[in-house]
Amino acid sequence: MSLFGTMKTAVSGMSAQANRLGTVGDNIANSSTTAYKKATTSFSSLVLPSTAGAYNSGGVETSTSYSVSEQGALEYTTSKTDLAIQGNGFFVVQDTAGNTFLTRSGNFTKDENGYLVNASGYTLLGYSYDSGTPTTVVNSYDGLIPINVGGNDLSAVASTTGSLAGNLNSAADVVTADFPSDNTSSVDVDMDSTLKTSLTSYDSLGNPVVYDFYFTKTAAGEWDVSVYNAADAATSGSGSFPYASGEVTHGTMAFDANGKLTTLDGAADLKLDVNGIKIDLSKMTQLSAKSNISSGSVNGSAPSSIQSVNITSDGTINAVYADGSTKPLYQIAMATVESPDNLEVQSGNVYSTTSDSGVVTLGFAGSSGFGKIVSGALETSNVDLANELTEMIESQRSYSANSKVFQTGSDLMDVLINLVR
Amino acid sequence: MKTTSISSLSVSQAMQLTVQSSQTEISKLQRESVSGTFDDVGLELGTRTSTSLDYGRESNRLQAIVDSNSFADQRMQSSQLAMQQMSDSGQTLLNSLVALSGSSDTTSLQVSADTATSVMENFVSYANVSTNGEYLFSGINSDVAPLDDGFIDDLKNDFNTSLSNFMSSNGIASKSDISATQMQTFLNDYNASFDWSSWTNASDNKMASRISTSESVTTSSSLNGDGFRSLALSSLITSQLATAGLSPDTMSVVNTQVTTLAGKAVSGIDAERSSMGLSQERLEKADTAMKSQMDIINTQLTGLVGVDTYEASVRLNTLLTQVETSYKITSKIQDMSLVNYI
Amino acid sequence: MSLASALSTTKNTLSNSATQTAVLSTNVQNVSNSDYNRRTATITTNAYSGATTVAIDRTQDSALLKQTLMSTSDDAGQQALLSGLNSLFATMGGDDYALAPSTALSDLRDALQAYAATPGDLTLASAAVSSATDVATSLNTATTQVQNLRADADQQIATSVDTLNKLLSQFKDANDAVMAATAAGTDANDALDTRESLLKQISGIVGVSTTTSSGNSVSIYTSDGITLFETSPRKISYDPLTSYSAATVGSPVYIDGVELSAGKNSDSTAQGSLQGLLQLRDEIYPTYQDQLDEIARGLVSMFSETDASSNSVPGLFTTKDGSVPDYDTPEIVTGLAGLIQVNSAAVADPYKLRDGSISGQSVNDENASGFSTLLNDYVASFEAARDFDPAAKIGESASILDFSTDSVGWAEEYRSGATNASETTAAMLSRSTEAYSNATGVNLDEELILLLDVEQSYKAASKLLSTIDEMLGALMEAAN
Repeated sequence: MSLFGTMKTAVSGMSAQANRLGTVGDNIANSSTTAYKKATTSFSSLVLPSTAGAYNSGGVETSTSYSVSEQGALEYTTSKTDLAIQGNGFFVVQDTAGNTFLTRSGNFTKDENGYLVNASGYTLLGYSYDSGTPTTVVNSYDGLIPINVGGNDLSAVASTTGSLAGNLNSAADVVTADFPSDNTSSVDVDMDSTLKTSLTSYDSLGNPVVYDFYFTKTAAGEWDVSVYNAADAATSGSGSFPYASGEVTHGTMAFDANGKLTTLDGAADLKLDVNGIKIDLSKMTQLSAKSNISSGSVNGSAPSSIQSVNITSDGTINAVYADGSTKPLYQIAMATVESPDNLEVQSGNVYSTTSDSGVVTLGFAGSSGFGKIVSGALETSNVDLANELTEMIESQRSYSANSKVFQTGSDLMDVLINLVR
Repeated sequence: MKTTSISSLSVSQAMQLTVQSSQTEISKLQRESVSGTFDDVGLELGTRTSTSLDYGRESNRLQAIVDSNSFADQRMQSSQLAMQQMSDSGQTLLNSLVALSGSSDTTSLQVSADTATSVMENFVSYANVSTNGEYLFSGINSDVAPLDDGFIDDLKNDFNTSLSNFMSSNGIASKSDISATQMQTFLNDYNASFDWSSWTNASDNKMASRISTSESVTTSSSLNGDGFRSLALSSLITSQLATAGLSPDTMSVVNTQVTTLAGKAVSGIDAERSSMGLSQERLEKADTAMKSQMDIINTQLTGLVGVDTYEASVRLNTLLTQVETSYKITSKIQDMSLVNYI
Repeated sequence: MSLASALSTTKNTLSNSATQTAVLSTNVQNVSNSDYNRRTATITTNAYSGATTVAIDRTQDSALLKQTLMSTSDDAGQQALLSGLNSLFATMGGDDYALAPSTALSDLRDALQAYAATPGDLTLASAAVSSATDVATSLNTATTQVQNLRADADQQIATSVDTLNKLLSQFKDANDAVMAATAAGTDANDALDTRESLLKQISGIVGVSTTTSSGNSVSIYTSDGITLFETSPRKISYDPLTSYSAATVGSPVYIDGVELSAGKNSDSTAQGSLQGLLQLRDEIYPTYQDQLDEIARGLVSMFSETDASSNSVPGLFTTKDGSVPDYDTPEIVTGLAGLIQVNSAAVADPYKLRDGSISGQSVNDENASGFSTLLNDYVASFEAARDFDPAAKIGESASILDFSTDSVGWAEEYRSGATNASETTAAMLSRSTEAYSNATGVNLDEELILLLDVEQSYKAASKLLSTIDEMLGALMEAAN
């Protein structure tokens, strides 16, 4: 009967609008949730077969979809561990039970064990740097471990390389006796024909070891370099000589006519080996200007604890130590699916893959197909309040209209029934 | 982005530094305009400070020499006075002897004897004259009087003794029996053997003084000179023999002898006087030269360290005006701040 | 873009304005702080994240800083030298040089002159001997004072070395703070200010040159190239001595085992007060002492007498400890000026001076009281040329009076040169600090103008906020 049909259609319309209102309510409630993707309803008509002359009204089918792939605006915060993804991709997280999910919500903070846990309670996963630069397993979650940035463990870095740059005065007098390599107390360090400088290096335990370098002019265009351990310096009397132990290493430097260093100990390798540390002397010159050292540096650091972490745009988590040196710890894994909008939404702002969404592909941020990770920002929800309120008004009016149709059908029914009395 | 090239701190500090240096300059100019010399001599002259010290020292030294010359001058003047008196008394003796020649009048002989005695006494008193604790005629032995107290008596005794010895050795009974030739012999012998230096305590060396930076002269006299000897001798002989009752021939021999001696005395003392006069003249000339030298040095010193006081006070006034102006400007700049207008 | 994103942009603007205001107020607070460099708050778009943030920059000018450090060292060295020379000038007795030995020597000559005029006068004789005592006293006093000045310089060096060690350890802390803040990306500006002010203080003690290496770490070397600080401070060692005599050699200052050289000349090459103090202690004061010793030696030689066996013995002037120096060879006898005194025999009987019999044999053969030959010889010898050791830096041959005034002249030349040079260095320093302050300091008026700008943008942002609010409100009303 078409009247009943009309009423049923109206009811279907009303429930469709009610669904719509439901999504609107959901969206408005979650308009401040980090990385919330708005739910939209789309209607499709349900057509019942009708015969010529008798129209059967159908109904409305509601389908809800989440606009997962729509990027929300980035909101900047002051916390370095707040992450947002600019572009495609999801973070790979796991819950307390160990199940793996995908999420865009990046408001991670360090928990009491040092794991990065977001506001919904999921732990971030990534690849560790323990065995060198990590590579992904493309289509599964193998190899991913929870990222831990805590720990008060100290670590020291031994010195391996260094460099010295400076000038040795070509007009200085040649020294004929009492060379620094003789280690006698009558060595005259006049900072012109005998130049002294020192560098701080670190051994494998993180102890600072200071090495004293003495450059002495032995002939025109030839200088000797003697290295001593400064801890052996004489404590009384004049100067550092004599040292308690002999020189650590010795080298002969030859300069060409333009003042450039050509050979060290006769070989073209201009790196002096000081107890395993390679000091690059190639920037030493021999020009007619005052002898001095313009810069010297050695890598390595004393033991220090992690002071903070910083996260780069490709997802590498670097630990920053108290003395300023950095060390990469983990790289955050990114995942993507073929059809993000078909991901199944779970509570806590996470998604899990379904057969409609496609298989998960893992990679790193910044590589093709993935967006970049922004540290210190959060993705806001892509709900537009004005839009939702408009929808709400529209839905309200449609609901009223549908109810009006129901009312009219019901009135007509009444008329019909009254006809029979 | 910085648009201005001045910072507020540099403005306020610049004022401070200007004020500080102005104040130092003001006090320096004040002192210079009052004293007329550099405020800090060593600073302005550097190594030439030694020159200014040398000038000052030279000037002081010349003044010291001028001062010490006054002592020498006084000594010489007193010596001149004494010697003049001695020369006058020698002259007196000479006159009385000349008047006496040929005369045997006992009165006039007595007069001569008395004159000679008084000449001898005068001689002793003038010889022992002292100034400033120095005996003028002792030479460098200036703390000892040249003639002892008993000089006259000792001398008379010595003469009489040798006369008695002469008479007894020549068998002469009394003085009136001495012949002229015997007297002549006696007098010659006595003259030759008279060792004057043993009678005086004076030193042969006379006192010398430095009268200028390059000169020194003798400024005293010694009694050991011949003139004094002759005076003593002539007055001695006269006093002893004039009234000895000699025969007229003997007397005339004596007379001749003592006249010669008296004449030598006067000329000898006068020679001493003139050489001392020469020293005095040289001292005067030296004083004049040194005074004019001092003037030259003082002029040069003023040229080295002097400052024109007029110029200094003009600069002082200019600086004070400048400082006042800078104070006014400072207060205006402090007022010009945007804080007052917002 | 939705209204919500407009809202969050407005939120961003407001917080940026707040940061800018905070920066401006820090600047205003530090207007008079010479160690503070102006901070500039600039709005930039973070190229990495796209956000508009406030970047706080600290104004730097490394060329002017280097100039300021150099002129600080020059001036500190020059002032240290000058104040030492002024102290030496004070020992000479001020403007009329009343206490200098040269004055006492000329007074002695005048007293001898007066005595020679009347050699028999005991008053003048005593006056001459007491004038000689004055000369000996003035030489002794001058020696004591010069050695005290050396001890003072030594003490100042010790204090400066202590200060320098402390400053270097504070510098290490500041340097570590800068490195940590730079690596962590936080605000390193306050640590940079501290580090720079420590550097300025260090340059006052010893001249420095700096290099910046990776990680914003600074290494300090002295202007001779000796390492002062490289990751950690190097040891500066010094053994102070409490008392000095003419023969004492001061101990050197070792920085990292290398000896620090002293300054040279009156417009001193000293960089920093340490080199100026070393120049005073090891060169200037000992040379003046040598000159005093030479004067003393000349005096002993001039007044020497001959004894019975025709040997020369010291006469009027002898030594306190009885030692007999070699006074005829023109070589400095160190410390003689402190030992010289008048022979007590001359004080007891001043006439012995006239006779030459203080310790030798009398030449007054007649024992006459008017004997003035020896006295006149003494007076003349004041003007006679003698040989002096050229190591006393005055000359080889001069009269003793000229030598003594030349000694004053030498010291005054040094002082005059140093004073003129110090005026130059002080002017240089004030110009450099002024230029640096102009380049990096705060101008109150400019900050106020920027504050006006910030106020305007804050007003605009808040207007935007209220407009968006109105728009949302209109929407709510429509939904009723």
